[in-house]
Formats: sequence, structure tokens, C-alpha cells
Amino acid sequence: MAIAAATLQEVQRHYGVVKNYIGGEWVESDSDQLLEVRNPATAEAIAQVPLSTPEEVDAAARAAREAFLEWRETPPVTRARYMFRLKAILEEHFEELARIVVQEQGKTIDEARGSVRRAIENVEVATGVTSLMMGYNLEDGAAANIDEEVVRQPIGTFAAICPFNFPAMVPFWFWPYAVATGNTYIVKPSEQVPLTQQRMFELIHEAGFPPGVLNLVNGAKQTVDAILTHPDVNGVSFVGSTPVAKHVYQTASAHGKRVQAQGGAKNALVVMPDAVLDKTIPNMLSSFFGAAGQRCLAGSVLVTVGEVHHRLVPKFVEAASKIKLGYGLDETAQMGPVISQKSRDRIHAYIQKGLDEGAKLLLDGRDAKVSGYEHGYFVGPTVFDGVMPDMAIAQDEIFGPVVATLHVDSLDDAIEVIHRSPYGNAASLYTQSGKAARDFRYRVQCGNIGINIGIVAAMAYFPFSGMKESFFGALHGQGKDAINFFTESKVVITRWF
Amino acid sequence: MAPAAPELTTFGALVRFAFDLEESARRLCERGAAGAKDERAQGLFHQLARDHSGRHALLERVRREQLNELILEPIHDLRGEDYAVGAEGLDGVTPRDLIGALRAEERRAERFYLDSARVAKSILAEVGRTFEKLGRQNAENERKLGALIE
Repeated sequence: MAIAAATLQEVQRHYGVVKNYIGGEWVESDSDQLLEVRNPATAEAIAQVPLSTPEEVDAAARAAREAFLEWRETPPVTRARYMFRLKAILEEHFEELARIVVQEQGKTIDEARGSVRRAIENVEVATGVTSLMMGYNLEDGAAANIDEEVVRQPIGTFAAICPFNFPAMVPFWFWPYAVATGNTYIVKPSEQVPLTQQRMFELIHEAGFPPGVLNLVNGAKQTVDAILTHPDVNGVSFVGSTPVAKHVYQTASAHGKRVQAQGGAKNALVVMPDAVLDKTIPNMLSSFFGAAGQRCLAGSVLVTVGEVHHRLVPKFVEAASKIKLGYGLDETAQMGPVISQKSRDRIHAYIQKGLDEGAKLLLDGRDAKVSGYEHGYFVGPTVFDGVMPDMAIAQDEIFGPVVATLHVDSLDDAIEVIHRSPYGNAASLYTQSGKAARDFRYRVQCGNIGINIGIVAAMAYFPFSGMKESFFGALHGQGKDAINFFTESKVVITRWF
Repeated sequence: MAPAAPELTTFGALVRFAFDLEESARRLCERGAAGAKDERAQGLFHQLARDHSGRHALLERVRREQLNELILEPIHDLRGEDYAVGAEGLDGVTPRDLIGALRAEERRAERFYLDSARVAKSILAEVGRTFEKLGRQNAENERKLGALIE
């Protein structure tokens, strides 16, 4: 296989059989079911991942429950120091982690670095737990000489069920806050991308967290269901598709757990006639095609308002056609492959469906080929015009680099297009008008709103929001929402005789 | 060996080329220091070599901490051939010629950083500011090297 001269070195060619990490020890799974982990750019197998059994989930939950007793009595300032240590270790291994992300997930190296940075940012915020976890009080709050206060306390053991698209980042939306506040944790990575967390947990081990505080269990549906129903797991965080998010939310809730389940999306980028096109187009490119469209924050529908359609679309298509596909370790590559052959086939089927339903295909990414990576799961940037709101490519989450362009007359019409979707993850408006922006952010029923920003990714100290079919639960990941999700308020009223 | 014409299509590629520029300059400065007969020149070469090494570390930190994937946009405005350093051999050149080669490196690097800053500023403002500062330092280095042969 020819490798471009600018290609960075892979960390390892093959990673062997992935292990679980339970009670502070690496454990080979008892399961006889192994899946191949493949490099999406080459289709080569780079590891095997076990589909862990319910018994292994039980072992992790018991280890976490046992560790909780002592961990919750560890002062917050001490817990914060573990986070500081981990942050330093992650910075030392930053580039290595980014390259593993590229190898198993297909991102470009810059995208992968960005995602590792985001993971570390959550550790940074969690170091502030001494302030974040504070309660509040009021002397004589109940009556004269009777004081009242609220304290926040950890609850027990939580778990994260993670998607394939951000193997480094998504677990860190949750566990640093859970663990910093005194809980213990189980991470279940996607079985398609288990390697980054494997390495992360080696570094977590190096940081010296007490055994059982953090645990790693690999697997698929059976493993997930075991987590959702385990009596010693107090809460679950999930990121993935809406059908699975609903299953997770319903099942975990029925078993008495707290749940936050982030589902799918169909995000619209609305362009007004006064948008600054030479800044808007590059920003939209990164939204629609960054991570090969495999983000819950990716733009998916381009809504052009009024006459801007005729000025924007040709320039947008031309810019999209110049995006360079490649293996993410080639630093000049601007877009990588999608995660799997199955994903590529599904995206191709949606492109065909768009044609069948009468949309106009301006840029066709189906025949994308990358020299030296002929077996890779590449789909090139794809743009449709003349899309109607009820077409499948306008309604369904495709999770690939496919843009459906709808042309409307007004901002009101654009908002109506957004609201027809069952999803409510993100929406963006490109404009120079404060009035239009204010209307948009006020009225649009999506959890993450961008004004001249196409990827509305909340920083670690803000919640990652979501509404309607894009989120199930009351509290989101990251920031103060996370602190509240992972702790309980206890009211104490005190009188002394 | 001097850097070849790079494809400057991503921020990662920009920073990679910047690494190559700093490394190339550092080696030239060390070579100048080894061959310098004049104490003043030797001192300047050593200082510049240290500076270029420090800039390499700064760029590594920029790549790690300042590339925000929320606003990572493809780059199409920079032509790598505008900054490619010539591959002329420098064996057996006079100290004056070596200073000339170093000044050319500093000027090319200045152009690269200031052009990249222009591209970066509207997207990753912190990165843009860092590149501008590096470009200004290149201009200052070029001036100091010129003073050696005046």
C-alpha cells in the first residue's frame, strides 16, 4: 500500500485483543465473541474487541460499588488532584492519542487532535469540583436559631455508553464530573472504536486512581442491556442514534436509574441574504463535511433564504468539490472516510433515494477514490439542490457528507423547516442582522444554536444541550448540568439545644 | 535538507511546515555558530539557534492547545510553492554566503507566518496572533543578521 510522504506514523499496526479494565486490573474477557476493529481508511483489521458478558458487567459494577464506599469519603480537593495528574499525563500523550483516534475512527489528524483537546478540557473543568460541588446555606433559614442548608452528595456508580464518532471525547463529557464529585464509573466504548479508550485507561491507571473508581467494559448490545438493568448502576449517560437513545432512556428509567440520552440530529444551516459569504462558506464546509459528516452537530440541511440561493450554491458546490479526501494521518487530508462499509452503503442508498425522489444532484460523492487507499470507506462531499421538506434526505439522519439544500422565501419559512424535523439538536443562522439572529435564537426549538457558527459544540464548562428527539432526560452532559446529574441535593435543617 | 514545497491545506499541515522551517533555520544557525570566527557572530548564531528551538516548542503547544475543532476550516488560500526553500547546497560557502542564506530563510519564514496569520486570524484568532508574532521576530532576526555584514 502506497503511503503519502506527508503521512504520520501509526502508533501500532495491530493492537491485539482489547481487554477490559475492572477493579484496577486489566482482564481478558471471558466472551468467545470477538469483533474485528478496522481502520476505515484501509479496511484492514487492526484489533479485535470482545463482546463482554453480563457477568463481566456485574464484575465491573461490583468493583465500582466497592470502590465507592471509600471514594465518596475522599475529600473533593484530593479527588481534584487525581484530575490534575491525569491532565498532565494526557497532555504528554496527546499526539499518540490523536493518532489512535485517526486509525480506528477515520478522522483527520486535526479533527482527532481537536477531539482529544475537548476530552482534556473536561478534565480541566472537573479539577474545579471544590467550587462546582458547593452547596448553599442560610442561617436562621428555617426559623430563629434553626439553620438550613443544601449539600450536594455523590450517588453511587454511573456508566457511559458511547458512540463511534468521538472515541476520545464523549466518555469525558461524563466521567470526570461523576468521579470528581465522588461517584465511581464504568465506560462502555463503541465496539467499533475501542482502542482510544484502551489507551486512555492505561493513562488513567498511570494517574493512580484507586482500583474500582474507573472501569472499562467492552461490548455491544448484550453488554449495554446488562448495564441498563444492573441494580448497582445508579445512572446512565448515552450518546448515539435516537432509536437506541429511546431504548436506553426507557429501559434504564424503568430500572430506577437517572438517565441522560443524547440522540440523533438533522441540523439546519440557514443562510440569509446578508450573510458574509466568503466567511460563511468555509465555516459551512467544516460543519457539513468535517468528520465526514459523522457528528450529531454536523450540518445536514442547507436552507437558503431568498436571493442568496443563486449567489451561494454555485460557490458552495465549487468549494466542496475541492475538499481533499485522504487517510487522516496524511496531514494534508481535509476529510477522512466514514466508519464502515455498512455506513458507506447506507449513505450511497440515501443519495440514490434523493435522486429517486426528484432532488437535483450537484455534487456526487459516491465514486470517491483515494490513491493508495482503494479499500477505504470514502464518500466524497455530496450536495443536492431542489430538495423538498418531505424528502427522505431532508428528514432522515444520514450521518455522512450529504447536504440537502432547501430554498425558502423568508426566515419564518426557514424556522418552519427546522421545526418540521422531529430532531432538535442544533441549528445555525448566517447573517449580519442582530434582529434576525435574536429572532432565530429565541424561537428555534433546538438545544444548540449557532450564529455564524456551523458546529455549535459547547465547551466543557457549558452543557451539551439538545431537545425533542435529540435528547431524553432533564440534565445534559458537561458543565454544571453534569455536576447536578451526578449528585443529589440533601437538605439539612439544624437546631442545637 | 531544506523543506520542499508543502501542501498547505489544513492547520496541521501549516504547523508541520512551520516545524520544518524552524528546524531548518536552527540547523543553519548551528552551522554558522560552528564556523564563525567572530565572537559577535557566533553569539548571535547560538542565540538564534536557541530561539528557533524555542519556537518549535511554542508551535507544538499551539497545535496541541489552540486548534479548536469547532472552527477548523479547510485552507485553500496558501500556495506552498511561495515558501519553498531552495535546495542549493551550502557546502564550502563563505560565512557571508551563509549569513545570506540565513537571511533568506528568515524572510521566507516571515512571509509564511504573516500570510498564514492572515488566513488564521478570522478563524482561529489566537493562532493568528501567534503567527504574527513569529513573523515579526523573523523580520527582527533578518535585521540582526544583516547588521553582521554591514
